[in-house]
Amino acid sequence: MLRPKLRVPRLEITKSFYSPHEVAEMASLHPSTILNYIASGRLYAVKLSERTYRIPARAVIGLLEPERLSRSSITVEPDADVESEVADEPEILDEPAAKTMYA
Amino acid sequence: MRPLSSHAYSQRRDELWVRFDRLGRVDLHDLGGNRRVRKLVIDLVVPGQEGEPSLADEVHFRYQEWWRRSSVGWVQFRYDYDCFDPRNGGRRGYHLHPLAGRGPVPHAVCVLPNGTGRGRHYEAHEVELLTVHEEFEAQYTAGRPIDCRGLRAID
Repeated sequence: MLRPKLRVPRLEITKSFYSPHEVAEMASLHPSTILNYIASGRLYAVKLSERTYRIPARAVIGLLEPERLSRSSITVEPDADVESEVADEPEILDEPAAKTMYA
Repeated sequence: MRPLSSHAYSQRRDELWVRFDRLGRVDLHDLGGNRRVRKLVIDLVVPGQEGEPSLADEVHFRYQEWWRRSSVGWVQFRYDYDCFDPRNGGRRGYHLHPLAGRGPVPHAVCVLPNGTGRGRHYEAHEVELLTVHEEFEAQYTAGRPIDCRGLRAID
């Protein structure tokens, strides 16, 4: 038998940044769990000082409602001609010594 | 910035995309990889949620780099790293390109919301993209407005 879909209320995100405590509350998790997420890299946060983090709205949405995120993109156009933009630039001469500088 | 092999260039490009995607919506363009000059354009808009008026965009980071193919790999020879405030106006940036008949000169640009500073260039050292981004990101996150104090004009 088909069951009606539960309608989950949309997360109310109106600020650009949140504290770990605020995110913990939104996610119904303990604040130390959020700090662990930050330490492990699972959740991105900007470190303002030794004990102060701010979590961007995008990271909050990515954690709690990832399907809602506006998607980023990469476009690769290897044949695009951008040389004319920099026609005034001098050529860089190759330096043999620099051959060891490959990353 | 060291010369990069084609593989290292692509790896760095992908790492930058992942790094910036954590903060906002990224549109990255990698142009000219088969040619002599290659350009990387990264537009990072924060928060970057399309169609959500309650989360209007607050900052736009635009990072552009130009690289030339050489026998040692891809060599970066030009950049424009800019941070724009789309709501109040204003811009802060670090550039490397020819200035007034001279060769490439690393310099800063800074335009206050009222337009002060437009067309001026300020002293700066050559910089690396992630270092610049961390400075811009910290300034934005802390809610500090664009500030040109301490910059010394070079023209």
